[in-house]
Amino acid sequence: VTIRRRLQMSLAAIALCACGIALSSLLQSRELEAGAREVNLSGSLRMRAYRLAILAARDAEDRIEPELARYRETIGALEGTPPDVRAELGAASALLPRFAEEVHALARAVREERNARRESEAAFADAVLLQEHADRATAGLERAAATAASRYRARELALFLVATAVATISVREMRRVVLRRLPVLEDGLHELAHGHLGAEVHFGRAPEEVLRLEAAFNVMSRELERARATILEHEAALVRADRLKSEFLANMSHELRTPLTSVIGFADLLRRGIYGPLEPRQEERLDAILRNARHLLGLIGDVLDLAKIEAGKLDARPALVAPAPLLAEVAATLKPLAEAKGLLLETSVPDDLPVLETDAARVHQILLNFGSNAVKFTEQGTVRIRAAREAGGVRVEVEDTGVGIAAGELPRLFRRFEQLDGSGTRRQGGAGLGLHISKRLADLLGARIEVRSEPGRGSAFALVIPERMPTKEEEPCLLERKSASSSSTTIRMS
Amino acid sequence: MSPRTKERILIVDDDPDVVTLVTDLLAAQGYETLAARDGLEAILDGTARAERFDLVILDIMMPYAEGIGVLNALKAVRPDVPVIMLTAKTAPEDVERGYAWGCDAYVTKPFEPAFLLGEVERVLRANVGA
Repeated sequence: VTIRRRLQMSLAAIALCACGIALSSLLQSRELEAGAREVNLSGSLRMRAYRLAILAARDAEDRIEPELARYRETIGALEGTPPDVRAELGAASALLPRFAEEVHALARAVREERNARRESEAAFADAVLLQEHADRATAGLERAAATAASRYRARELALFLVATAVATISVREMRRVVLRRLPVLEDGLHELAHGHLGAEVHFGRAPEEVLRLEAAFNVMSRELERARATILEHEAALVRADRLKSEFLANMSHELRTPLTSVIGFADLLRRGIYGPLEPRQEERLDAILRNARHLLGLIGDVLDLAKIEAGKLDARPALVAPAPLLAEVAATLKPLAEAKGLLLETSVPDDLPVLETDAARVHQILLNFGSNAVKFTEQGTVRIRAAREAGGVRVEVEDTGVGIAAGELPRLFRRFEQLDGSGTRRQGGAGLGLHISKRLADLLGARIEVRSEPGRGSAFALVIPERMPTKEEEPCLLERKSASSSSTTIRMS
Repeated sequence: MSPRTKERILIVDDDPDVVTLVTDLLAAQGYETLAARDGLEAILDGTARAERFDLVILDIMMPYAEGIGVLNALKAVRPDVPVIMLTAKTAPEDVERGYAWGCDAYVTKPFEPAFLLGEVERVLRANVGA
């Protein structure tokens, strides 16, 4: 049986009892009204009997007849009363003709001026009898009314008790059927809360509503379990895809470098004359092969670096680094490039530079990028590498006397694939990735890049390296770094 | 480019072009060279003729036996032989691992011939000194 049905039945039973009580009250009040009227009539009967007795004593014959008629009428109005009352009334009715006779006899005796004492006494005695009958009838009626009232009270009390019992039983039933099952449901929810997805609840035999709740809970639990399984599957797929991406990047780097090894290597050996003497034209062409192959190698390096940056795979490995030897290495790499263009390379490194905790390879990469750009965009003059102590770190500036950069062009400088066409000079080699990568690497090191430039006079790129590289926890996440990338680049114009 | 010392160098690389390239480069400098085309050959040949070379130039990624296996096998018969890793694996962690395995120099491909020669000389000199 459903809970709903049980509640309906209980409510119907209680409503029935309430109706019974109301009906009973209505009936009682109507019967009491009738009873009260009868008691009143009976009372007036007593009064009339009393008056009859007085009238008989005064020998008021003419007034006795109408009083007797009213006495009879009153008895007639009291028909349908309890048996004992009816008996009294019957006895009174039976007595009336004799009493009337006795009153007439008394009247005659008085008229004939006889001694009326005997007749007077008989009439008075019967009047007293009539009054006694009326008294007893009244008492009977009162008793009947009281009995009826107590009967009604008992009936109403019984109905009230039944209603109360029904209400109590239905509340207990609800507790048994619903409340006692709540802990089972609670346990199930705790299971879910502790990650035991797929946990089920079982209420056993129970009303339909409770069984529906059980079924719904179990379906939800299974669905949650399935959803988690799906999420875990996707997570595993993502991890796998991420690993594949890393492996792909590593393999691409290896696979692209391998053929270039032979290209550059053999071209170099040929150029050195290991395989025989060369004509000037052959030397020139071999130089072209070498130049282009090395350029290609640089591009491959840049593209793979960018891919790693985009994939979030680029990391820095901090170690203690003495700036002076690192700068000497950068200068040594740049020197042949500068000399090939007839440029002067000057370095100025003071002795008091602090030891840095940073990634030497990344710093080297950034400074080499600055240096090769300087050489690339300078036709005559000097490239200067200047280091200086700065609050909390070291500042390294690479300054040139090259074409310079217009103010409007500066914001584009660190964007991917952008290469500025400085004042009509022809487009320079390179994919336009170098500065973008340098910027990202600088972010990785917690370093700052500053640029100042004047078209026609030259440019200066400075890397400000903190004494200690921020750890992974201190470092903002990649997305934040992306959005902050322009703010951490100070661009100043001279 | 006059022939000088007669040090023998074992070149282990699965890329025949690289073997030729390094052989040509070293031969032009007067070195003697031996070659193995994969890790297995290097292990078999190298260990069999262990006394006959003074330096190993070793690739990392090769069929049959990876560079580390070859390195361990060669070091087992010739613990003192210097090894130069010559590989296209350029990630910083690869370089660190190479030194952790016990190589004496780590040269990344594509290499500048002059740089490789410099490393060969440096490693051989250091080994003689030791």
